[in-house]
Amino acid sequence: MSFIDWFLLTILSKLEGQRSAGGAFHILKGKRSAQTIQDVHLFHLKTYVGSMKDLSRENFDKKINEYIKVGLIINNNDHISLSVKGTEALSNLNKRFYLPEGYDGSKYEWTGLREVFWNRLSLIVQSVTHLIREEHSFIPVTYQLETQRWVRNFLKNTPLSVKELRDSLYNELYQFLNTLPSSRANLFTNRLSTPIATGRTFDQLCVAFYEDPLYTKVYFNSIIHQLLYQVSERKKEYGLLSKLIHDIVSTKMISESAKETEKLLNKGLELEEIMQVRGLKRSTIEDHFIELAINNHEFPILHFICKKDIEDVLTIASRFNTKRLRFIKDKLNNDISYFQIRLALTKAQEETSIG
Amino acid sequence: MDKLDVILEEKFGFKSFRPGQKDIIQSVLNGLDVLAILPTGAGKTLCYQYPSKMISGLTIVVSPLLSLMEDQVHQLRAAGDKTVYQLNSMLTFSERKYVLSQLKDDSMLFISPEMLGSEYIQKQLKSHPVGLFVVDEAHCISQWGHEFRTDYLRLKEVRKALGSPPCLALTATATPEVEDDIKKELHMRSPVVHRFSVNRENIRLIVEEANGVKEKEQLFIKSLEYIETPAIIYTATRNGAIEIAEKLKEKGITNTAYYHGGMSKEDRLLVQYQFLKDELDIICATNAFGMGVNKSNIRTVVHLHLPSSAEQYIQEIGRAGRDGKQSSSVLFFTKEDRRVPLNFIAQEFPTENELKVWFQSGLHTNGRIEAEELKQIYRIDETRWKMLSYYLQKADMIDGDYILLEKINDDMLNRLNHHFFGRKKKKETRFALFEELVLGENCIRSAILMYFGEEPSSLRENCCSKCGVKLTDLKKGGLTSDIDKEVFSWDIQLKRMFFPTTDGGS
Repeated sequence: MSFIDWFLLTILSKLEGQRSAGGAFHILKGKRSAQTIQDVHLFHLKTYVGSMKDLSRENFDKKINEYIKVGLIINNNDHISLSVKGTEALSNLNKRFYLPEGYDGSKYEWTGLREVFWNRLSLIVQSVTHLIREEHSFIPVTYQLETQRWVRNFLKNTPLSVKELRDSLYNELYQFLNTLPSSRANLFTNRLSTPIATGRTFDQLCVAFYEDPLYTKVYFNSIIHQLLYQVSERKKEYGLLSKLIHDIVSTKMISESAKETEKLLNKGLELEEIMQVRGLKRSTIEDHFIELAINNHEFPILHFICKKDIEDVLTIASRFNTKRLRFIKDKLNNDISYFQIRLALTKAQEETSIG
Repeated sequence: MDKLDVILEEKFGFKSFRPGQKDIIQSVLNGLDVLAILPTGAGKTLCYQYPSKMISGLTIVVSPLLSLMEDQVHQLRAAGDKTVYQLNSMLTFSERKYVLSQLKDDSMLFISPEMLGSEYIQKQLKSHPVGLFVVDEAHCISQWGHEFRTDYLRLKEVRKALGSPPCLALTATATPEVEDDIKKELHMRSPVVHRFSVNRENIRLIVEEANGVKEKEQLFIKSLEYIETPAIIYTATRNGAIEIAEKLKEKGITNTAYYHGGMSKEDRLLVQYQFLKDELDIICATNAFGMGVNKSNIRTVVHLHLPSSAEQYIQEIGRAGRDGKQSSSVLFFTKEDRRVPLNFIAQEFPTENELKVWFQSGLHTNGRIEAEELKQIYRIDETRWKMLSYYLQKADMIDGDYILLEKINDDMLNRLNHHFFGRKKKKETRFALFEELVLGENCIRSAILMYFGEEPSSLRENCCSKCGVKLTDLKKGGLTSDIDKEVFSWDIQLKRMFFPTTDGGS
């Protein structure tokens, strides 16, 4: 078994048998839907979310079917849970795999920040190391036109000379890499493409990482996460690198559509009015509210559900250790709506994370 | 030296044309419709890049394969031609808008046939006069070409919509039958045909039959003693490529990597560059690798499977020896290998039963079904679906997003079925011809030439294994090992990257 199995089983285990395989898939891919955003908070999956963006549904389904076949997981009414055998397998895998220090899926993968930053950084390194040798023609290491354009503009508009650019880039990378264990620093430099050598693929670099390319990739990404963290914390020391992300750091995990709904809500419109103004279904607006409630602590939750109902929902959820809406609704036995239960559950997350 | 030569040196930095280029360029500059059949590696790009700089109006280059298009555009731009742009499905909407806003009358635009079919794009393109309409890899237009693409069949309408500019169609492999198809499908007006032999005399053609898969592998491993690098090893499947790369490493050949379409874009590019920059001796790949790879010193192309046609074989081995130096192609096969291409051909077409189930299962009583829904229910793959939709549309069986099931009767299905059956047979025949040529006793080179309607070869030395060339005749060379390379720690690496030593140490 390899890293992908560890990752999938970990997610499924954290979902406590309360979600379908599809729910787990959306978390791996980092779907920007209210349901996924809520699940991430409910089941403490912030470090993991959005980490497997390249995984296809086909390959995911293949894995799930394989697990069911060999008895690692059980599919009960479209809810997936780990079997005893699966739990054992996972605890064995835990001895080998883990998310490296500094890894934060929700902050850097889900938002796409790591990808943009690395694309720009690797192209700038390629450009500067060529320019310093007066080689003006090379095939770019990324084919992304947006990245190419950004880097071209950056190089055109920077007041620094090529030598100054080189010095800043070298010093800032050196300063950062010097804080890492050398195996990690080597992994980083081996990925860079310069006139001296082309970057290596994760397959070519996986020897030190249980010969597991995906694990190597996650390890590499964790290095970029650390770098991003350092850069945002110490903008002065990382003057050049911080410029690579200054136009994207403000990316929040609220969808554009939910922001639109928020504006109307702040103007004092009721749910039904927002539906009319925006021409959207009730369920969509409700999804937006859930998104907003998770991301914004000042969301007027009591406007939609009374304090006592919130407490009741949370009591049931913790007593029966469940987050299944239908179950909670049946237990409460009154006319509380699913939307209200979901709203109440956003508070469950807050309390447990504080306490 | 005439005017064309002078411009060649001034604008493109070449001392002289390669064989064929000048005639083709001259015909294009004369405003004629031109069909150029040039062997792989003959420098097709210049045939339209050159005229695009001379004529007034936009040059549109229809290119069939996304990765090929990206490679071409980036290579041209890297070489300093900043008038080159691309439009394809990989671009976001805002990027497409950006590209369209940047176009000028002297630009060269690479575009996928799918994108060119869009009315929005056509409308935007109409604001520029189109001076030349280029169709690259034009054999794709023919249903007997090796990669039938229905969007290609709409190109003639697009060309008309753009004011019927002169057309240049290029391909490396076209039988006389395919040639006729291309002319017809593009509505070419009394076209000039420049046909050059597919024969690449500097590539030896070796085929080795093995008794079973195991022996095939042994033969291949043993041949590593003779094979000259850089080399490409083609396998039938992705797993095959990975396994062979693994095997090579076990044998101590460490400067190797695999490449297939399932890898991430970033990794595919890295492997491609490593190979381009001679950092790898051997690349193990599926047929996803090679089209846009501009590497002139590839010495050997090895096949560990049977290509599905002489066309495919010629395209793939043609990646060797673009520098004109002696090179080799080696094909290892066993009798069982035939199953792979035959299965592949079978999977390209819907079977009679599938057609019945899809369209006559009676699931949908109101006579129509959303196309997307049908595709989802039966999990019909994209390639077959596109082909099917093309024929349904042609028969008026599609209304917007809906398929008019009520109109689909037995007669219609029979005709479709008959059509697909015929196409399948044709492809099987093409494979059988290739297989015959590999298994037979006659000169392979001559057999291939005759397949493409040319005279037999008169090459006497270094021709093919039927003419006496043996594996052991090949010149070994070029294999290096990772172990010989110094391994630097990160701090030294970083220093070497950013601070070139003036004594040539970098």
